[in-house]
Amino acid sequence: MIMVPLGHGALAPKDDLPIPETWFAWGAAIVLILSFIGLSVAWVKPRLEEDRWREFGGFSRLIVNPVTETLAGALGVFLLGVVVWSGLYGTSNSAANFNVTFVFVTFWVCVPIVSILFGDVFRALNPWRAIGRAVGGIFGLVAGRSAPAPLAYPERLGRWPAFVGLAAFLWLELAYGVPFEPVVIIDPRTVAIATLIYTALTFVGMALFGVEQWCRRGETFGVIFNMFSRIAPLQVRDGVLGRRPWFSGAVGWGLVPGSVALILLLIAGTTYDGAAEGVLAEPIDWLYDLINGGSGAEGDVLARRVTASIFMLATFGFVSAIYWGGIKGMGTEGSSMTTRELGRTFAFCFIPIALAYSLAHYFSLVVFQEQAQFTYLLSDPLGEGSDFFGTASGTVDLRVVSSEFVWYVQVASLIAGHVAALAMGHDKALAVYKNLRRATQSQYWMLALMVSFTVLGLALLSAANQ
Amino acid sequence: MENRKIPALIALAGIAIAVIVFLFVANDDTADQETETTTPAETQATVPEDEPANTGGGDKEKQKPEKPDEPAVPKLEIRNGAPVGGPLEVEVIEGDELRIDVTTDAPDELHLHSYDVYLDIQPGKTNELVVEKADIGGVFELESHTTGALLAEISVVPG
Repeated sequence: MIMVPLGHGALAPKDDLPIPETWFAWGAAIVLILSFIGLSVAWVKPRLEEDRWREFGGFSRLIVNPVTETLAGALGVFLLGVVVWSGLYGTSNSAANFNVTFVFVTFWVCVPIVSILFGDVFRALNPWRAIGRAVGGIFGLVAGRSAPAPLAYPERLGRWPAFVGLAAFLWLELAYGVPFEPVVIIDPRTVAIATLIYTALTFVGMALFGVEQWCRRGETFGVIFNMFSRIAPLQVRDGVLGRRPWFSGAVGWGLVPGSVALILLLIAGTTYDGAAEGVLAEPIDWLYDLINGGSGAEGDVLARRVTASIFMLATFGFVSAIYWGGIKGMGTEGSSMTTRELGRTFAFCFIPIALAYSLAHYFSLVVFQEQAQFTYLLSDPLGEGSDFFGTASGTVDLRVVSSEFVWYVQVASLIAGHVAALAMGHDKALAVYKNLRRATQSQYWMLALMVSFTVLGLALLSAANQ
Repeated sequence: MENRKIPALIALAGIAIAVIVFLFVANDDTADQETETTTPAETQATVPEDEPANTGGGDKEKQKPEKPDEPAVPKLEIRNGAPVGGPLEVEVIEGDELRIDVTTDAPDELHLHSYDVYLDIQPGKTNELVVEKADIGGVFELESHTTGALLAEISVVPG
């Protein structure tokens, strides 16, 4: 978690109580029981393989049309501007500045939740895409012809640029911004500068490969939010809003190179964030002392960042090892795939797990910081006393959710994520394996893999992590 | 029902039984611990069953535990801006009074996050940090407002 000294309200005001061991036991038990029930009543023909998108009737044109798309893009660009502006000219107190909460809570945690329910809304809001399209349009107006054809996007590059962007973002949040009182390292100015750098790099990507192509593969946030939106029953195709069955948009997501690494890194990021405050806390201190030469000096920021980076990498390795171990166990016999293809084929099943991890870890943060987002951060984004919307004196009410409610949300989201993942995995196995026997065999490995992730998720939140 | 499903169902039954047994066992243990640590209207420093994680850098040892059958006000001693024996771990039932007696060798200002309590502390006397009703659940940090050092970690748990 990002820790900041208290100013007006706080960015991470309090930690969640660890889930009590009985809750953890219950959660794990329910996961197992539901899984086996699921296996025994499972269907025998794949259901998600067909493309079943159809146009949403009625007033869908009201929701999705060039005007709303343009407005959404304009809103995205405006918010991007506010993020940069408040970082450069606003208060350096992270808790009182608009951009830290906006980027790491409203943007990073809330957009995936909205995407899972309502589809790829970020595609319309994406400021970089909007600017790219605007520039392309202006070029066309001025030059009287469309912009020169971009380079063809190499297939093998896949989503790797998005992976690199995600790694940089997580590193910024969890290593560069490692909690270290009283020095606050993730400050609004850093956020603003990182945003500017990312914007510049995105423009280069869009210039080289074309706006739409870059936003489909290379632009980190568009790619990640699009991934989550695959779960949703709504999708826009060629400017038309349509419906499809839940989860059906996700099938085959992982086939693009770099996708497996991307989703594993996403899960690993949340895993590291949770473990760093728990089971990894002492090893981190130990390594920090080692790097620091044991001088015990508390202020060695570089050593802290290096330590955090090493453990982030280790966590990514750990999560990847679990995943690929499970895939290897499933085995390629009875399918026409290599292990690597198998891994890519099933990666989409972990999208619900990635969301469950995020929701479980950051739910209370969202509940508190969104109060801040719409009160004092909205009216006083620079933290210098303005009151644009009259809500600057609002405060964060920490009593609005109880600890027990938080536990319910945490356990329920992990269980739901697990069940969804299992269903998706089962459906895919039926399509991948040529006979029922092999498909069933693979199911047990799949189950073990998913139970591992879910129980890991529970453990990170529970007293077991302390 | 197809034949292939029977082994799965047997496994299901076996696991369900194992889990239910485990839950009964786990439940009993935790129930005992809860009665040990719960006291009606006072707080006490408790020893969590697992080794607690340390926050911040350097070596920190656990605070010496108070005897669990003797409800007593937790005592925090600050020397050279740091808590003696490491950050104090305090657990209080939600809704109860939180009280910590603080002694220090130098004037300081304490800050309890979220409850937003500030307390000036002076050497040579027992300073009392009191929150009459700890009604926000969670884990909160008590820090020195001057040095930022973590002095205590207070868990407000559901009653």
